[in-house]
Amino acid sequence: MRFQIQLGRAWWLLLGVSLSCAPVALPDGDRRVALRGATEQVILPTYAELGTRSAELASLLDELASTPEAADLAAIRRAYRDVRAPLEEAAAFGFGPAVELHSVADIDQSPLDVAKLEAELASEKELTLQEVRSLGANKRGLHAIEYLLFPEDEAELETALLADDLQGERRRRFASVAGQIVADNAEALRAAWDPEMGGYSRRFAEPGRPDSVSVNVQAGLDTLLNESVVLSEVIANVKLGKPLGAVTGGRIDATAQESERSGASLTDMARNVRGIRNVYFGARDDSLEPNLSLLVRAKSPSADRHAREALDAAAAAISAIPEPFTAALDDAPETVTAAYDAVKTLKRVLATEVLSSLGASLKFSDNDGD
Amino acid sequence: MATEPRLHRPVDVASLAAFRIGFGALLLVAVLRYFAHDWVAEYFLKPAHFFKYWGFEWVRPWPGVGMYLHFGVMAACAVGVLLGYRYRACVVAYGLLFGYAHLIDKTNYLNHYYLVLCVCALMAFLPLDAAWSLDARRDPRVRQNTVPAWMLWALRAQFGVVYSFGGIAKLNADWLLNAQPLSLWLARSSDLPGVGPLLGTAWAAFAFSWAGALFDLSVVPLLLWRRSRRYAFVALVGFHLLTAQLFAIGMFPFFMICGATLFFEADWPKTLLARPRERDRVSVRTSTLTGRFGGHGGAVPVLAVWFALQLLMPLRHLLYPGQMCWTEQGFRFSWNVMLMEKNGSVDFRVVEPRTGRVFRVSPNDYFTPYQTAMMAPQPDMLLEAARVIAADYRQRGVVEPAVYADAFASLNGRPMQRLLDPAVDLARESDGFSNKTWILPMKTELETRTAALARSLP
Repeated sequence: MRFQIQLGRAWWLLLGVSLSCAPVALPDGDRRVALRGATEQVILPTYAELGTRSAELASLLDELASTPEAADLAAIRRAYRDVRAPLEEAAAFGFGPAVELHSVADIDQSPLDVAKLEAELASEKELTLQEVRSLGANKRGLHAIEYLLFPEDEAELETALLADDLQGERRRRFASVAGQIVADNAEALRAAWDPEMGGYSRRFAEPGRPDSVSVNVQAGLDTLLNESVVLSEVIANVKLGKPLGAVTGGRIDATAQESERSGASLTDMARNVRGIRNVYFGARDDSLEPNLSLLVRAKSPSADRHAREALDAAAAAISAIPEPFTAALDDAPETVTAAYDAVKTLKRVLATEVLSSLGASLKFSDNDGD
Repeated sequence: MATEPRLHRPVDVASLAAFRIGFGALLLVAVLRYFAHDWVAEYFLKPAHFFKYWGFEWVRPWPGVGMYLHFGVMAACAVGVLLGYRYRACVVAYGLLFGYAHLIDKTNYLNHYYLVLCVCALMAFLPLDAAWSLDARRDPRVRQNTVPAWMLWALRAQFGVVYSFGGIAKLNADWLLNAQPLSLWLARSSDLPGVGPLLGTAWAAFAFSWAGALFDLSVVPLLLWRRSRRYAFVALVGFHLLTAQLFAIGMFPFFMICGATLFFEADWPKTLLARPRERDRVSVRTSTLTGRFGGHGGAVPVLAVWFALQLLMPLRHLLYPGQMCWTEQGFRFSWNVMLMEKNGSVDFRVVEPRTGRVFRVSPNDYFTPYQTAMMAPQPDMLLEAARVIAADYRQRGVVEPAVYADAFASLNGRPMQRLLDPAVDLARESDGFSNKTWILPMKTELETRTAALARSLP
């Protein structure tokens, strides 16, 4: 009898433990609101803008192909740069669908394989959507469009792109199809995040559901913070460091920059930092609390202050580099070095103080700790 | 030597056999998690370089599918321990294979992996297959009802050391006066249902910090004292299940719960499984059992040496200047469990003295992101990384490359500070047990503020 009673107690204990582990409705704490805010106020609008801008560019390139005599090349170039702004901001949250759909590569693979692109243009293959889509991502993304819209010699633009011959027609046709592919990919990315379509935003911002991608709210915040750390590292090491020759012992290499032809390298980086800032403040315009900044401040006002200062300093240092970037590398390398150092400081603050204040982890692994 | 007869007194083997079954099951789960999370590839196949333990530079991952086979054999050995089938061979093999795997890379060091190794080492000398095992079933010579008490006490002491030093390590200002790092960690769970909002409060962090330290320091005596044992065990299970829920600490809580069962009477499994009417008889029977074992005369001195090392290892940090959590000199193998929140960031500069050329080097070019994150706040790993980079640049034709680290770290929520002297050429520094003078001391909060103020002045 006593044995049975003890067994009974054990079952109650088991039941209690099971119930305590069962999913229940979660309250909307600051962390949850901050995660949802970053998703709804930053990620969704940025992808929506990317979709809209990409469609506008595709439309203009389509008009260029169909009625070249009426084309406004300056407007097309503006449209190209307008696509890059949300794209570079979106680099601050390049996880989930961006990885699953290979969107970064499909839209903006760099560097461009110029030789193969020229071979494709010189060939007799029909430039259908299917044919261009089948090319490698380094032959048909935004940088291929940049290559066509921003020739090395400005005088070549009209002769190459508006020429009334087969080559001119093929170039316009290629730009149009490439623009359509970029727009399709941007739309696919937007749709994947859309709560009414792919629903990734819901799965990401609402942990605890059966289909959630984050096991809990903190895991979602960890993901956001990790992306910011990685992007700041990319800006410093790749976008500034490589052209500056930081990794090659000081050998400046202007061709290593991301958007040399369109002269958009600096604005690309500025938008990258803007993307990190947007995530940190939970909004694309003004700060929207509760956000990561508030969560950090609650634990360490100095860490939040350092993060704000580092964000401002990085943005200021990049904007202090004189345009064009190619000339600045030779004429004002100290400004590029200053920007490199400022972005490195941003990365350090994010990877140490901000990370600690959020109790987050650079979760490149799901290994245990103890 | 009044204690020696007491240590040789026969005790029921049942609790040790039950421990073997539980521990074997946990060893198996620990290995299966490596397959489930694909950690074999992540930790042993993907990295191009590994952070070596001093004296174990020769330990490397097996080529091809070797590491998968390695862990497969470990799983088989864990089953052997669990079932008590060729127990000694299995526990020795498991210990060696587990030790080999974790000596490959410092990155993967965890306190409870070290505990597993220590326990396996002890188990290799203990006949935990004497009951409830396939060995005992197929070979009557293996079977026995009792073992000398020192065998039980050896394992109790091993687990006791973890709690005791874990508690002693918490007797510091960060833990007790600033409630760090729990203040940072508990806030992670502030969205949990019910208790979540409480976990984000300052008083909860203080309550958990003080309770955690008191628990670690008192649980062993409370488990040893018969009258408090049951309550202490219930508290222990609750404590470990709570930590398992709140923190990503893997198997650690379950190993400790399993180890805590050793503190019950040696015959507790028989008492638990016996029908109520038979319980008194079980108790009488086991208390009158006598052993038929012998030849363990040398065991107690050997154990004395073992535990002397166990006591000295966690204290070796006292030989080094500075705060242990900052310098991490003497940190590993010392049961500093869940003691700090430390994050770092590092970049290296390679300088060719002859030409003055400077190469900025990202650790990501050499190490996996996980290795980089683990290395950044740990000085000895940073030193090793610098040597790897120096060797690479030497191969690239850079003459006598000097390697400097811009390493920053934040400990327990403090503002980040430089961890290493940026002017020291790490390629010229040697590793070893001597004090690493190139680790910068951690500044106090006052010093940090004064420096910040000085920087802000025109």
